[in-house]
Amino acid sequence: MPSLNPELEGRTYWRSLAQRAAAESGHGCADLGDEFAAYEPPAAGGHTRRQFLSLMAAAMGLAGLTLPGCRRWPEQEVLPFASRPEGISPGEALWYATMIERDGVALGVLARSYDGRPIKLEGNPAHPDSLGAADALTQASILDLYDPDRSRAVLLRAAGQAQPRISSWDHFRTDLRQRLDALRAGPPGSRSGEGLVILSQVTASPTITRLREQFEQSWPGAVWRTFAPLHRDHEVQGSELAFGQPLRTQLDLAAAQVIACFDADLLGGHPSRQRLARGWSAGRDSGDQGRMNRLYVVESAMTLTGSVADHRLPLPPSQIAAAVAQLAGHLGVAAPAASLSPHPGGDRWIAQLASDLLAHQGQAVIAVGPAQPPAVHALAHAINQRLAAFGHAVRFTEEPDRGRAAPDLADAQQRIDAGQVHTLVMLGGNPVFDGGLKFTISDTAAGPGHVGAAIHLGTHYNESSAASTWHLPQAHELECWGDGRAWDGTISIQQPLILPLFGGRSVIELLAMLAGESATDGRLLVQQTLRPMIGGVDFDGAWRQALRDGVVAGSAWPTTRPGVTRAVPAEEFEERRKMNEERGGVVGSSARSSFFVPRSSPHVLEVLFIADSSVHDGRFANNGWLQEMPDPVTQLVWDNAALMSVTDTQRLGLALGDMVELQAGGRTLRMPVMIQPGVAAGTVVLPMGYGRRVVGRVGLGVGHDVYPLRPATQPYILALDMLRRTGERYDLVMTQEHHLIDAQGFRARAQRAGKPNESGLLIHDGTLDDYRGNQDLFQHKGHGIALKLFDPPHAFNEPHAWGMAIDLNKCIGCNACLVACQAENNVPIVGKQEVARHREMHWLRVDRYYKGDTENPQVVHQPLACVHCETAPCEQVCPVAATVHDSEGLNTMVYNRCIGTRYCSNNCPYKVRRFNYFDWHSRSPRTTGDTPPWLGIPDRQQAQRVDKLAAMVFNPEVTVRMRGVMEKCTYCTQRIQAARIGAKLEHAAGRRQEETVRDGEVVPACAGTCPTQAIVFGDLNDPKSKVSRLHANARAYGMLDDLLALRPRTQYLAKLRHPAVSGIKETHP
Amino acid sequence: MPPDDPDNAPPVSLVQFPRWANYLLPACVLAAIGLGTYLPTLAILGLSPSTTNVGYRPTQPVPFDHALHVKALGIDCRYCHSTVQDAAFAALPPTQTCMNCHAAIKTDSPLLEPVRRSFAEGTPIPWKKVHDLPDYAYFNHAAHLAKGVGCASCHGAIDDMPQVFQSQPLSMGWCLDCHRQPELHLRPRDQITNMSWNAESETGRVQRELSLLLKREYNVADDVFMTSCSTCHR
Repeated sequence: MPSLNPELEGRTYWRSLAQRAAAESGHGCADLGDEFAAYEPPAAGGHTRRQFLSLMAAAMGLAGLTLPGCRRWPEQEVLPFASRPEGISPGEALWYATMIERDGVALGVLARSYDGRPIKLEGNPAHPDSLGAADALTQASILDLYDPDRSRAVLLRAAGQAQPRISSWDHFRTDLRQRLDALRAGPPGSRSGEGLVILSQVTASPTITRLREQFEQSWPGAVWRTFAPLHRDHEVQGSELAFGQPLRTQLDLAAAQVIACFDADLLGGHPSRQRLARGWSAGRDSGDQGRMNRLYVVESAMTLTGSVADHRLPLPPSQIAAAVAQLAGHLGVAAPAASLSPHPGGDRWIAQLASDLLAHQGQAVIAVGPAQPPAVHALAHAINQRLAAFGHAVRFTEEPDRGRAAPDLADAQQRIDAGQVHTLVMLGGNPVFDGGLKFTISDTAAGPGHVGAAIHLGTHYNESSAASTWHLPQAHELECWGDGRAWDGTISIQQPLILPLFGGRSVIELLAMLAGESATDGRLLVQQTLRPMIGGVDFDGAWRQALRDGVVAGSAWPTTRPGVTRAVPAEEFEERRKMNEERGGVVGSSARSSFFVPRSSPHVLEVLFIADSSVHDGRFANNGWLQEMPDPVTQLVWDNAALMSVTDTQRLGLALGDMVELQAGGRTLRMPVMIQPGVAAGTVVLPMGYGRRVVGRVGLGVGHDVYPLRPATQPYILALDMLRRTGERYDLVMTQEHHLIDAQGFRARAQRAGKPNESGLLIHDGTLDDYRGNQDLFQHKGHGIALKLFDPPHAFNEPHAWGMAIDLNKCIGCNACLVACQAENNVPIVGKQEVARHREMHWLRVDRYYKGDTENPQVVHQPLACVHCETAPCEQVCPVAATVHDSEGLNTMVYNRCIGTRYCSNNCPYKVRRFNYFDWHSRSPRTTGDTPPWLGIPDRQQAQRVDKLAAMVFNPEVTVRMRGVMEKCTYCTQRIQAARIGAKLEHAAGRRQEETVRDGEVVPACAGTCPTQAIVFGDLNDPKSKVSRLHANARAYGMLDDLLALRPRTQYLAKLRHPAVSGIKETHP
Repeated sequence: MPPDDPDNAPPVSLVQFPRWANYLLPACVLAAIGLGTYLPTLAILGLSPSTTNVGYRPTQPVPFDHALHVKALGIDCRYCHSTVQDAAFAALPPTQTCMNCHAAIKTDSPLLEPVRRSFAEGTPIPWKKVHDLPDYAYFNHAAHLAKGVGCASCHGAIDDMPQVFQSQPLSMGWCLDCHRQPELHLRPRDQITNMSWNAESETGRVQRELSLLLKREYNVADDVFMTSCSTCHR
């Protein structure tokens, strides 16, 4: 890379490669300063701007003439209960503790419901895998409940027919009985149920486990297989290798001073990520006391964990095993010899890591990710034992996952291919899409690849449904009873908040139906399971307590403390070593120019398959909130892409959006390329789950399906035979250059950034060591003069002074706050085309800045919503006073006054205001072309056009904005009001001393769901409140405050890095 | 004379109005006269009761008579609107509440047929909403009652309404009248449902004097808070 402009060095951050290039060339970036990018007048219906304005003027004149006649209040009805249940107060929120299971792990949630309508999920503080936080996927799963594309009926597709017909549960039950009778009789000599194959998802649900045991007893010939595309087979098999039995690793990051992750995205991809993130952040919290944990990450992709690492070493996936082996060598653990010779600096890096780990024995831990082969996991266990981590940062419990997802699916496929399957039952999931399951339906005797009938249970009609005979609508988690276990085994009960909207049934209800039980009431099934497990004598009491708390207290698995009993098989490493040698022949060459091999050579590039941050394994493809959520690292929306390193793409002559063809093992795939700083050279990262072919209107055909490239035998890491540019181009839309705060002053920024080793304009950061020596490290004034344009009319502190603090040292950029804000505040989605025009509506965005080397940059995540400046520039330019301060310091936005000039947004230095160009809620995000629904009377249009089902997710406490108005973060003013009114009522009733709101009673959506508690909100009037103490912290700074004197109520706390004292050279080669 | 000699260039008038500018003044006068009639008309029509819906009196599915139940029978508002002191919404009573009495009283009245049907079938009675605020305004009954605002202040003399109608404009200006000067409307908390409450006759103090006392006692916020946008809009 050419060197940076010296004036921009130091702690200067860049958001994208384009921005960095612009900085180097000294020119502003053409597109970067454009807040309202690509605003095209054709969107106004084919008129020019002038024509449009004159038409509007005429229309307004006419509207005035007919004003009294055209507006009548719409007549509304109030429908009270015939008999109101006790404890129900119409219009008041009720909270229920329940759970949602994903990847076999239950996540405890508290669901808020208005008048029987659940609208928001929060984390359950009592649940070990939530601790009060809910991740982005969990937050967004409420949207699936009200998805208009949800499966609405039992569908039957007779053999030979292309399209299914609507059928009924009764019809299905009759058909099922006949099939089961045939199976029970079976051919002579066969066991009962032979020919019946059940394919379920990975689960730890006690009820499903119980029903499975029952099922296997009553159908000895039947086969039950479990599959999940994002399986942890290697992890489970690794523990079997090490201990002789499958054990689940329970990490306690709070107990670790040195953490090393090898391709393990503990904070962003682990099933127990909330808990791990909380543990990690506990070790960052002590930064102000001069102590902090240190995170080392060796990885191929740029993950969230890698983005907050103190030391990060990018290595291609095949070399991670060598890195672990080398570490083992340093620590005196028996392991095959390995070298990172192709990566200068790598050996030294590992040596430094080893000495740091050894220096912190008992407080050090390493973790390996699910992509790595079992032997590496086994070796990691041995290393952890050597580090005396067992019993401290690492504990073990039993493992309900059998670790056989891939072989299970292969076995099912084998039986189908052999023509042995009479009836195939898929309990949820989508194995046809994400597992490559293939079968054909034939009524008659099954031939190779044929099954007699396939039954698919799913919330949506998907690829597997389309291939099946029967599609059964599955009840959403909020519609049915169930149970599950947290990562540590704690049992949660899943209770319904609403009756199934479309007659869906749950997995356990279908299982009971398969067992021929007449009573298929989910609640009874769960109670039957839990009766022997909880409560003892007083089961009803224990049941009610568990429902109330959301967890069964004390039900976690007991921890065991095994010893590593077996040696790690060397073959696994040998295989890796060979793969490396093939690349090493060329890569090892010292000349820089030959560092990368010519395109024609085989095994140059390796593929790493990862879960997509938005659609996970594809299940959330129809979820608009998640589709529009920018990936925390790539900032890509509505798409996936092949992520490649800067050097690789430079070498191969690839540009952003170039379509490439990837070939491996005779399979090919076409994908657009995205250049991602931090991806290891030699790696192509492919996020899974996109390119759905049978899905609802939101997700259909979005992105590219990478599953066809993924063999069952190599589920995560794959050597690529060929990568070739096709010459086609593809539009990728990223938000990373949107809403640039410093776009206007881009060139002046070189001066503003000051000398090297000072904090940047927007991000203040430094090392822990510097901070220990100088508590004023982050306090400096830009102007040095107290800039004051006018006296504020008011102190904005009556009776409270609301403020927020965001600790950049703890933020991991996980996007949970973004989705929580969207769910809480009825924030619409706009679609890929409109995001390309910078029209996304997120009130809160998580900016991601890079610093330094493009191969291995340092990263900062910065959540940014309206900071509620006391001298707000937006207020001074609004011609109609639609944005003004309230008495407590909130910069309020008054929708009914706003006339849509967008002056405020123009004048906002932080670029946090969002304009409703269209009535987004009544418009499909997949609309292409310019045919917006905008000719109705604006405030009636929503009632007429927003889908009734989709509108059910709206939070009734927040206005649904119409087109033509500006909106932005309100500090969740509805929650402030709720807390205030609650306090007043309690005071009036004599149940409370003071009438004011106490610290902690107002929790905005973003703060409530933050897994690391990086966002804190409260009253600045109260010097003892958490937020006041954080504002007084030596790391606190108001963004741009030193330049613009805006007095923002949201303050940031500078990020601390904790590199090893001796220092490791981060860059390579 | 050389054409590029600046000293000898012909004098140029600095201001040259085009010919159509002559019509600008009459056009302005006409526009002023037009606006002079247009704006007052707009204001008058916009603020007229027919626009704010004062007097809106829809026909209800059951001709429930507030005058009879409240004035003649003396039933307290909160017997039916039971959530009014605890919740934002003063819930309309469930049919069960009607049947508490009407299971025994007037059991065969044809007017009560929808009530009996609702109770038997478990289906709601579709009442017409009378007091309807815009969706961006968030009114909280409980908060107002806790500060001593009586029912009648907004709903009028319900006990004189055989058929309920909207007696106040419920416009933002009308709300702010009270938010700026709550002292004109406060009463003791135990009198909030009193339909004919009068400060002087009941306490011997004039309304303003009493209200100022109550304003302190109930911690009613000052007008800076009370007129903040976020107090009512979310």
